[in-house]
Amino acid sequence: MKDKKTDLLQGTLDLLVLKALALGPLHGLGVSRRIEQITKGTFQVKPGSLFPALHRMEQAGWLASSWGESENNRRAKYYRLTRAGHRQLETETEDWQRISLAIKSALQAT
Amino acid sequence: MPLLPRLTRLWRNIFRRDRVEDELAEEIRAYLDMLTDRKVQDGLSPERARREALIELGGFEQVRESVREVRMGHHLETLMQDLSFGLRMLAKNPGFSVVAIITLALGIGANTAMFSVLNTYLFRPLPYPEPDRLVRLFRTSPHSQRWPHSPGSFFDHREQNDVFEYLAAYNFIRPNLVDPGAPAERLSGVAGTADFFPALGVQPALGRTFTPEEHELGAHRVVVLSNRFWMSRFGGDPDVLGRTMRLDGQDVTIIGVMPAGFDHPLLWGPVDLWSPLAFDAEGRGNRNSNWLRILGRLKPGVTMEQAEQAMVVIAGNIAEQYTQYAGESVRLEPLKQSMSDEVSRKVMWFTFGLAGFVLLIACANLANLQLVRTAARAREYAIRAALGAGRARLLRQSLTESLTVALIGGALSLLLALGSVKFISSRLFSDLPGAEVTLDLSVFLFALLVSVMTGLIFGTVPAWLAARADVNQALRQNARGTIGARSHHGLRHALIIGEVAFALVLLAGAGLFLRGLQRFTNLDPGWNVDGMLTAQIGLQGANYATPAQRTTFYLQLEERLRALPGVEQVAICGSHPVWGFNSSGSFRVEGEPEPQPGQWPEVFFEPISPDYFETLKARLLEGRAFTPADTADRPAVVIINETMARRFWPNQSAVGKRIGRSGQDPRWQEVVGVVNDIAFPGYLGEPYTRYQAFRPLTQSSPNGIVIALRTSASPEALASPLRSAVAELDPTQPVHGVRTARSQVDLGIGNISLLGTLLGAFAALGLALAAIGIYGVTAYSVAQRTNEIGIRIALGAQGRDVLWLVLGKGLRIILSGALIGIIGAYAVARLLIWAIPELPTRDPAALVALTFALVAIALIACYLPARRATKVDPMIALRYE
Repeated sequence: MKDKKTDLLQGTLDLLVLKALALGPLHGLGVSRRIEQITKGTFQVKPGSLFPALHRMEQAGWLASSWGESENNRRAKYYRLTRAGHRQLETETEDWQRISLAIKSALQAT
Repeated sequence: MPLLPRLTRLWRNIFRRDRVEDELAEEIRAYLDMLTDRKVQDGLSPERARREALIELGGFEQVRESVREVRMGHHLETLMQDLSFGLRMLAKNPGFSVVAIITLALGIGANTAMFSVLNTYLFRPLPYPEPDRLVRLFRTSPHSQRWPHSPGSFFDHREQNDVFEYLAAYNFIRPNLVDPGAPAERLSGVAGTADFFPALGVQPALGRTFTPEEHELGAHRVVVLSNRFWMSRFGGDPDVLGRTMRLDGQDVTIIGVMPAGFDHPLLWGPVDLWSPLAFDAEGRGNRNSNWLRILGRLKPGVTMEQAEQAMVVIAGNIAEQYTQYAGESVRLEPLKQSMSDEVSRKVMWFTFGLAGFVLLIACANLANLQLVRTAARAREYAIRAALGAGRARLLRQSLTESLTVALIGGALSLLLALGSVKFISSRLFSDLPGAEVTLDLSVFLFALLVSVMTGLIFGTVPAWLAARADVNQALRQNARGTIGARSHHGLRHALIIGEVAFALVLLAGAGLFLRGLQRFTNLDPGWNVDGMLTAQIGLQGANYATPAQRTTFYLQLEERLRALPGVEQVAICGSHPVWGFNSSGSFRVEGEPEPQPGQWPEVFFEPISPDYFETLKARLLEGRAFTPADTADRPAVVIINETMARRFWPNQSAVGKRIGRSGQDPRWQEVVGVVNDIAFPGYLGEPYTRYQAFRPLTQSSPNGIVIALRTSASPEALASPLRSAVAELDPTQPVHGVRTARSQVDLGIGNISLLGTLLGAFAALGLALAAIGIYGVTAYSVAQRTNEIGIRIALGAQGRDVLWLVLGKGLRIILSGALIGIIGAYAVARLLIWAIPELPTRDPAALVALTFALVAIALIACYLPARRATKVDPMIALRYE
């Protein structure tokens, strides 16, 4: 729901941002909404966490930014995945799947 | 991100910060606007939409700050911020800044100066490749750990070992240089065997070093010059190779010049030249004369312990073969260590250690100052915390301020150190050219390290307190910050107690040392030091090869000198009574069983002329002095000192008894007199033995002698007549070291005296700092309690009640500090006694006196502000907020 705040670990946030940008460039608000969308409303990323993440990942070379025009003809900063970013997405997806399998089996054990 | 884009970005973040910030602001604003638009689309009113968007944003500044935190170059940016803020704070409080920086400069400066002394003399490595592979080999016996070797023993060690890459024997030589037309000059040099230069491993700057063949007797008339001698004597002439000099009556050829620094005066003393140490077949096999020093370079991969074990085994084999070495072994010591004399070394470390205490007192003062400031700045910190500064940030900012002060103080201290080492250099080891104390990179690094540590030490205290501040309480306080201050009282008092304790330790160390030094110089050496001129001659050359020739020279010299106007007595002897006797041997007492090998007592054998005791004004207690009748062909006679007489013939007269040497032929010598003990006022180390035996010059004629002239006029005036008298007798034998005995003493203890002066300066500095600290804290405390004091006075308290109120607390703190300090002072006293046993530092009276002095000064520092408290006007005080 709108007020549900779930703590996101930094690594998970990175993964979600990368996934959100996988299909095409977005500006900050767009990323936030896309994440909400693809997690079916579970994660609502606040700007206080989103912006540092975007800037950090840009510094790491996974995102590239450029200024463009938004829907309402406003100037906005758009982010897109770089090639390194695509690779990072793959890596982190694999890791996450491995981890979640492990935890799943741990929880199923008696 | 690859490197170039990273650097570009970093550059942009630091130097185009405004643009970066603007962009970020625009980005966030865009987000806000778009969010607002969405909400309007969802049906909210524009104002409502904006408000909700703002709430969802979570605070414009907070978001910006969170991005800043992850930005590259952030840490650098905050550091620069802290730095500029710190500097501005310092500028705003010039009083505090100046006091802090000067206090630190003095405290750090003392340590830096001492460190540069130690660095030059103790730490700096020798200027040879891989210098820690160079070792000295000493012969040991139960009496000494530093014996020289015989040639036979050296060659055996060299042939039989496989742990040394090079093993060389060497000796110090004092050849006489005779230039036609110029007066004879005495040079200093080192003569070494074939491995000497290879072991040290430095190539000559000009020419070459010696070949193995040149170490044969006959082919050895070649020399290599030191850079200093080459410059001073030959003006750096590059054509000096092949020229000859006349040394000790022989022509020698110059074949090389060593580079500057190779002669390292701190290790070798002044060196003008090197020559080959040559032996013939007979000399090589000599095992009875021990005069060689040995150094070597370890083979790669061999440790010193391994080498020592190997050499001990070889020594053991030699001892089995040759019985005169029974009971002896060998040991190794790094070459560098053998360089400084033990007493100087210990005193240097002692002074260095005490300099640290000065710094601690300075730090305590600064910590106190910081505490005051922190209390006053409690509001500032609280506001910062409210604005979002984390604890770590506050701590970091506080530490940066402290570090800034410390670094500025440290930089200033380097200037101070520069000045003081110039002063120290000109006096310490002043007779060694090229041995100055210099400031180099390690000194600079040391100053930096100490500054940083100091800043951290006295900065941590307020930083820690600042981080703990309760925001609400601090904001509610008035500007004086009274509530916060109260909780720091305990800490402040603890700091003062520490200062007093440190100051007492400093005072004890310096006071006991200086007093001990003073008592040492006032000790009665058993002879009269003043009114005496001394000089030295080393007879060289074919004319003085036999003892008889030398004796003739000495007798003639004595006559000539006695005839000089102003001379009351003349003495000729083997060594300088200021430094000590240089010849010793083992002996046995007639009538007693022969001692076990290694158990033979040792005695100094000093050759003297008949008027020796009269010249020195020593006292003959029994028997007679020598006369001209005691010649070489007469029975051997000795005069012994009191200690020896009492030890070996306790209840009887020693006169008439006989002592002898070890070996088949004891060569008995009859005791004809007993004299009081001769002490050496220029030497602070322990004498090798307390027994002294004097022999007539005619019966043991050394190569080198010391001349002593007793006069009741000015001894300096006799210097030229002395030189002329010697020159008349033989102009090829230069006389050197012409000085009064008193100035010799000053030279001898000069180094130690200088260090003692430094110690005294440090103690005075520490005491002043501690007194200032006590004054400051008491004054502050009084100011804090002005209200309370006003009330008390209004309620009827007298001046002396108030005085006692303030002083009472101060007295308790000072006494606690003094109590702790006494324990430290006692430890320092024991340390001094252990380090320099010959210095009479055992002085409990002085310790008590120093403690009283310290408490008195501390009380005065307390009393002055306390007196002001009594003058408080209650009306003003009660209004004082």
